[in-house]
Amino acid sequence: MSTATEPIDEILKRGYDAGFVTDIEQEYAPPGLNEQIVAFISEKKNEPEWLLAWRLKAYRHWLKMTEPRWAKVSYPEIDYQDICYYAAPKSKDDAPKSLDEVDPELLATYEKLGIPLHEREILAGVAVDAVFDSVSVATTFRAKLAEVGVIFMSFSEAVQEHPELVKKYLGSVVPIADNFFSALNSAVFSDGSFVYIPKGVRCPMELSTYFRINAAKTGQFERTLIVAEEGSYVSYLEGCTAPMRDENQLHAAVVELVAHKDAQIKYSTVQNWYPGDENGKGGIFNFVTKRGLCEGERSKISWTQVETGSAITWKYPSCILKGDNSIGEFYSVALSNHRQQADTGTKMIHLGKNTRSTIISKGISAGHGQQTYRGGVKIMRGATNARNYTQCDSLLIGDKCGAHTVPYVDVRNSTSQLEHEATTSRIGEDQLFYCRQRGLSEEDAVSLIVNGFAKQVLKELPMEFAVEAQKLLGVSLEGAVG
Amino acid sequence: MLKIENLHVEVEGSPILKGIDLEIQAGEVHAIMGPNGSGKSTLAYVLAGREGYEVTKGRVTYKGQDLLEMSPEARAAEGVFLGFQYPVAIPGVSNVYFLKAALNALRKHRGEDPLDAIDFMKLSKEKAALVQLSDELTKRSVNEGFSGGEKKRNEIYQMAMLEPSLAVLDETDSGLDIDALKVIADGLNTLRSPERAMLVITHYQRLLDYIVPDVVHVLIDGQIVRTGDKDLAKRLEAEGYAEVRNAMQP
Amino acid sequence: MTQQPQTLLDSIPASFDTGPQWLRSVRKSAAEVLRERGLPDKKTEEWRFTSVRPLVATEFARADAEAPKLVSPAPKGVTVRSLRQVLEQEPARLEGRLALGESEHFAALNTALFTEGLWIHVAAGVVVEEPLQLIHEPPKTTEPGVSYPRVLVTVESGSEATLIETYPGENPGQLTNSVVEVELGRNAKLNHVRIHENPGLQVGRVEARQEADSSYRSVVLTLGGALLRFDVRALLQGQGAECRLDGAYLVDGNDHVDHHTVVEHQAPRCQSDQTYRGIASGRGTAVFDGVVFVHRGAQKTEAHQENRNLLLSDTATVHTKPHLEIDTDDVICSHGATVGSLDESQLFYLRTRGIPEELARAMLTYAFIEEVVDRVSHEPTRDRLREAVLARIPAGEAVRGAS
Repeated sequence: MSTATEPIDEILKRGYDAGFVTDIEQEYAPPGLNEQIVAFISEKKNEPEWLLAWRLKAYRHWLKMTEPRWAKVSYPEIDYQDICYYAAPKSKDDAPKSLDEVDPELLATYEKLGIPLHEREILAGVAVDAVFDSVSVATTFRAKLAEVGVIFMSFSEAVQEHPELVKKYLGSVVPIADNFFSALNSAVFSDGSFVYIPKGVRCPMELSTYFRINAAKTGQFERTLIVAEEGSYVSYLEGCTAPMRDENQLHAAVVELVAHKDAQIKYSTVQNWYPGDENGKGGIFNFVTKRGLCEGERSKISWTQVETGSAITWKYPSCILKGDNSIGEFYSVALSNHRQQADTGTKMIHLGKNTRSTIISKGISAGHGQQTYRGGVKIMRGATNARNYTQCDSLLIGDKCGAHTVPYVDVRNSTSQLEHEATTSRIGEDQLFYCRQRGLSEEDAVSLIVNGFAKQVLKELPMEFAVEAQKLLGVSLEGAVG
Repeated sequence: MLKIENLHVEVEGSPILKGIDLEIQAGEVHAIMGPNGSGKSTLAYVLAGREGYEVTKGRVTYKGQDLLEMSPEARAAEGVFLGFQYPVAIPGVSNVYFLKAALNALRKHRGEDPLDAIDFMKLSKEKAALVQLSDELTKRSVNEGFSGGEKKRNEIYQMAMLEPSLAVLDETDSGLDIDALKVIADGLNTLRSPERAMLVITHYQRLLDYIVPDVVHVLIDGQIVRTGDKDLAKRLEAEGYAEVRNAMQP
Repeated sequence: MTQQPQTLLDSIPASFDTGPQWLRSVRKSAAEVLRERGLPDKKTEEWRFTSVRPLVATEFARADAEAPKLVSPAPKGVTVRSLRQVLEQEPARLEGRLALGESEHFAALNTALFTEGLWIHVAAGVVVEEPLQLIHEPPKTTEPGVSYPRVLVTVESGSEATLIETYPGENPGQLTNSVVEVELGRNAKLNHVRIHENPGLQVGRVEARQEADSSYRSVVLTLGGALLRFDVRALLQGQGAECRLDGAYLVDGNDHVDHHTVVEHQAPRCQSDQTYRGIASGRGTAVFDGVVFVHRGAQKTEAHQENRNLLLSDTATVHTKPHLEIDTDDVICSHGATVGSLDESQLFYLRTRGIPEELARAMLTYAFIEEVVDRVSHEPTRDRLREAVLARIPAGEAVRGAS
C-alpha cells in the first residue's frame, strides 16, 4: 500500500486561488477591545442609542465569559487586545451611492474572485451583497427586490432604514450571552446582510452575501439576520475568502434566521476562508454561531454547508423546531487537509409536535487534517411524534489524519423516533484502481470519488453554486474535477 | 501486440504465477481457461497494473513498451482495458460522468479535443444499445445497485466507449444467464476488429461457443499447461480440468 | 473495621504507610489525582448526564465487606486468592497489575482505598468449562455505607474461562465502588457476565488489557438502580485481539442508569463489536456513552457499535452518545443509535394473529433485549436473567406463559 499514498500526498498539496491582497486605502480602529472601541464602531455606523446600549451589554457579558475549549481543535491563545475590530475601505464621502461609485479596485477584487458586481454581468437570478472586511461595499438588485417588498441590504443600512425590524429580531434567536464568540460578535459586529421577506412572497432570486477579509490583523464580525414572514420563501447563499497571510485571523460571525408560519429558508454556505499553508501557518479561525428558529407551524429551515477553508472551524448551524410540523435540515460537507481542524455539526431541538429533522454530514480528512462531527438532537417532552434521522460518514485519505464522530442524543418523548448512523472508512483502493484502469489520473480519481461521496449534500446546493462547490472540493484536494 | 515472457508473480509472498509465456497479435482473440485459484485473475490484474502483485521474474511488452513500468492510467491511455470480474461501485458518481471523464482523459493523451456533451451523449447512446444497457442505467451511479448482469453489460459498454487495443476480460461470463450471455457475446463480437486483441479469461467453455477464440490456453497452478485451438476448450469441457491435471503428472 | 462516617473525599488518608512500596505510590498518586480533581460534576464531560451530587456530601461509613465469594470451589488450573493475603505474602507478584491509580475519580478512589479483594488466576493452557461465579454480597448495615470491591482476573496464554459476577440488590443507602481488572495473555479468552440486580448506589469499572489474539467478551445486564454508573474499557494492545461488549439495561421508577464503554484500538488488525440495548419507562433515565478510539498505526481495524433504546413513557429520558475517534485510515468503523417506541406495524401484525395487545407489547419489549440476554452462554444464568428481565416488563408474566 506504500506507493498508493504517495501520489495522493502530492495531490493534497493545496493551491489557494483566493489568497491575493487588495491594495486599497483602509481606515482602521486601533487594535484592542474596550468600551471606547465598541462606542467607536457604533458611532462610525451612526447607530441609535439602543443599539449602542445593546452592544455594551454584550461586551460586559463577554468580559465575564471564558473561551470554550470543549471542541476538538487546538490553537494558540488568541490575544483579543491585539486584534483590530474595525477596518473599512476609505471612501471619499460616505458609502457609495451606486455601483459606479464603488472603488474600481474593489470591483476588480470581486471580479477576480468570480463575483462580478455589475448587475448585467451577474449570474442571472442572483443578488449579491459584498462585504469587505467590516463594511458592505455593494448590494446588487436592491431595487428590483424592493418591487416585491423584499428587503435585502447591508446590516448597517437596515439599522438606519428599518430599525423597528432590526430591534425586534436582533438577538431573538442567538441571545447576547449565548456563547463566548456570539457575545463578542454582539459587541463589535460591523456589517453583514439583512433580509426580510414579506408575507406570502417567494423571493424571485437567490440572495447571496460574499464575505472577504482583506486587512491584516483584523477580525471580521459580521451579523446576518433573515426573517421570513408567513408563507414566504427565500434561498440565501454566503461565500467567503481571505488573503494568504502568515498570521491567523479571527472570524466570529452570528447568523440568525426566523421562519414564521409556512415560511421556508434555505441557507447555503460555501466557506473557503484561507486554510493556512501546508505546515499550518496562517489561516482563518472561524468561530461561528448560526441558528434558525422555526417559529411558526409548518415552517422549514435548511442549512447546507460546504466547508473547505479555515485553519480552525467551530460551527454548529442549528434549528429550534418550535412550530408544530416544522422541519429542520442540515447538510454538510467538510474537508480538512494539511493542518486544518474542523469541529462542526448541528443541533436540532424539537419542541413542537410532529417536528422532523434530517442531518446528513460528510467529513473528509486528508494530510494531517482533523475532522469532528459534533451534533446534538434533543427531543423534548412536548414534541409528540417527532422524527430525526442522522447520517454521518467520514472518509479518510492518508494515515496521519483523524475523523471523529460525536453525536449527543437526548430523547424525552416516547412517541418520537430517532435514528443515527455513522461510518468511517478510507478511500477505497478498489475504487481508485477501477478509475485508473479506465484512464483517470490518480488525482482525478480521488477528486471524483470524493465528489461522489459528497453528492448527497452537493445536490442540496442551488445549481449555480453546486458546480462551484464541486470545483472547490477538487481544488482543495488539488485536483481538477472535469 | 502483447508479449509475456516467463512471468512470475507473488501475492503477499506466495507465488501465484510461475512462468507464463504468451504472445497475442492484433486481431486475435485468445482464451485463458483454468480452474478456480489457477491464477487467471492475477494475470488480469498484473496486466492492468494493480498494486499488491509483485512481479519477481519475467517481463511484459506491450506495443514495444515495458508494460510493467507503467501506471494503471498510463496503460489505459495506451489502450489496455480490463473488464472486471467484480466491477466496483462508486456511489454518487454517475456512470456517464465517469465515462466522459475517462474518455476525455484518453483523448487528451492521444492529443484529441475533448468530446462535448452532445457528441458524447450520441456516442453513449449508440454504444449502450450494443449491450442493451438502458438510458437509466447509464445515468445511475457507477455500478451502484446494478444486478450482476447489468454490471457486466456496463463493463462491455465502457469498453465500447473507450475502444481499447487490448481488452482483458476477466470472467465476463460469470453469473450470467444464457440470454445475458448472448447479449454480451454479441457485443464483444461486434467489437472484434483487426486492430484489437482480446484476452478472454473464463472458467467455462460456454462463453467460447459465442466468442470463438483463435487460441485457447489452459492455466493450471500458475502455468500454461496446454495451448491449442477452439477444440481444446471443447475437450476440457468434456473431460474436465482433472484430466489435464492428471496428464501433467509425470 | 469501622470508622466514623466521612464524605468520600475526606476518607482519603493523608498518607499511605502500609503495604508494599509500589502499592503505596500507586495509592498516593490516586489520592493526588482525587484531591486535585475532586469528584466529577456536570461539567465533566464523562459525567454530563449523571449527577453524583447525592454522593458528594453524604457521610458514608466504611462498610468493608469480606472478599467476594466464589459460589463453588475453583476448578483445576484456577487459583483464587485473597488480594490482602497476596499483598502481605508475595506483594511482588501483583506489582504493575493493580493499576488505575491515575484514572479518573471513582476508580482512583477504589485504588486508594480498597483493602480486600480477589485474585483469580487461570494458568496457561487451561480451558475451564464451568463458569466461575462471584457474588458481591452487600454489607448488611442500614446506615449509608461504602465498600470498595477489587478483583484482578489473570488469564494466561491460551487459556479460556467464564466469569459471572452478580451484584445483588442493596439497601438504597449503600454505595459500592468496584473495580475489576482483567489481564488476557496471548490467545487467552474470557467470557465475562456481569449482572446488576437493581443495586442502590453503584459505581463500577472493568478494564480489560488484551495481548495479541486474545478475546474478551462482556455481557452486562442492569436491572435498574437508584444511581448506577458502570464503565467497561477494553484495551486492545496486541495485534489481532478482539472484544465484544454487549449490554442491556432497564430503568423504571426513578432509576438512573449510566453505561459507558471505551474500546482502545492500540494495535493493528483488532476487532471490536458492541451492542447495547436499553428500555426506559416510568421516570427513569438511561444513559449510554460509548467511544471507540483507533490510534495511529492501528491499521486494519474493524470496529462496530450499536445502541438502541425503547422509550416507553413520556416521563422517562434516554441519552445516547456513541462516539468514534479515529486517527488512522485503514479502518472500517461504524456506529448507530436509535431511540423510539415499539414498532406499531409489528404490534398490529401480532394482534391480527390473535395475540392480545398487552401480551404483544410485552413480547416485543422482551424481544428487544433478548439478543443480549442470549449472549450469555451459561444456560442456568441465561434462564435466571430471562426470568429477571420478564419480571420487570409489564405483562412479562404472560410472555413466560406464552412461550
